Amino acid sequence: MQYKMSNVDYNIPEDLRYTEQHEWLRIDGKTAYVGISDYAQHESGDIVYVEFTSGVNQAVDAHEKMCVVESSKAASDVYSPVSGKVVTLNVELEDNPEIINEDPYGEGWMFEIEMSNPSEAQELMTAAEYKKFIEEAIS
Amino acid sequence: MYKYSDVKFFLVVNAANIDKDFAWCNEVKNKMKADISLKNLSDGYAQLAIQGPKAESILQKLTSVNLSQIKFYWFCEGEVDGTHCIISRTGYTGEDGFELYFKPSEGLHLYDSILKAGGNDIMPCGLGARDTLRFESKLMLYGHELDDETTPIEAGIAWTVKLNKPSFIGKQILSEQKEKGTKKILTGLEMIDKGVPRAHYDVYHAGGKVGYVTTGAQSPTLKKFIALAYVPPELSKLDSVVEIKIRDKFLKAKVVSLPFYKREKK
Repeated sequence: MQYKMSNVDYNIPEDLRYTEQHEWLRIDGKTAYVGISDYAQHESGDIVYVEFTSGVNQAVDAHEKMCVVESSKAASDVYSPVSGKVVTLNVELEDNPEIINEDPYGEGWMFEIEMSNPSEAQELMTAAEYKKFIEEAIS
Repeated sequence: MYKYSDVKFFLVVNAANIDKDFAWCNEVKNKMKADISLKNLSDGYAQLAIQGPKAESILQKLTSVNLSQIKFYWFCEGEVDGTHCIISRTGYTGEDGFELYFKPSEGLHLYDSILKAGGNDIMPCGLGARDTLRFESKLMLYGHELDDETTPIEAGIAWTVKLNKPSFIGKQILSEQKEKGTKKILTGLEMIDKGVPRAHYDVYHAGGKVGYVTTGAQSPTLKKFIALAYVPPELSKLDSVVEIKIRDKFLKAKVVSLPFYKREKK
């Protein structure tokens, strides 16, 4: 009998870009939406708290801290994968952080950035690259 | 500690502290010139814990030992699915349940038979889940609530020490603390402001640092952000308000009664 708790298929949408910190980026022209991947939400466990450390209209650099996500296990930071200006924060998450677990690529999006250098996004991992990255991390 | 007889005891220690605890026992033995024999049997034992209200009915399927006759915090020896075990009605979750001790080579066999016997009523869980359960029930964890610098009186487990015995290690300081009180006392906190308290965060009052968090989390059972913390006794009264420094913010928390959660007795 085998009980492989980690034998889970993670959802990795093809049309997104990914970072090594497990953020995803959805590109829409000069705008990018960011959240954390299905793998990240699964590894975190139940997410119980979200706090944005950045504000709307603020200029951010790539790799700048945007928010803190706390789960039953630990606190972790979420960074902006690209530089630009903060357009929207999904403040709904502060009241209902569990949305990130339920719908990481949809309602669980975290913030919207108007990119100042869209070429940065092209350097992020594709879905295929990210899948390989996770597989190597797990094994 | 398992008492087999007046002269035979079986100690189960925190696995991270085996060497340290064994060395300490030997040191005491030598200092007291005690006529006892000490053996470190740790490599010869593995343990599985079956915890929760259905633990007895699930485990009973695998043993002829009448489990209902084992009282809480008592134990016996017997076979579980053909494997010789210490069967103990104990655990570290605040729930009813059993702990089994057996030869490590029997571990996989027992793990599979217990999960099979439990069917849909059982699932494997790791130390993260165990830590949440012990925390909600105010069960101490070494390195958090307990360490080399903390006494049982401060930790609120004075019941584990019988001060009326003629002599034992630490009797003097424990008697003094019991009589005069302590500088710190383990206290339950519930967040008033929104935030997640965690171990090692500092506790403040009136602008000064007064204590520290030993364990903190969102309680899945209570759906509240709670913490165990050491604070001065004068701040440990119910509904007292203190602040926990979470990152760069000072967030309000109030003192609540312990344990945070208590299971209903049958």
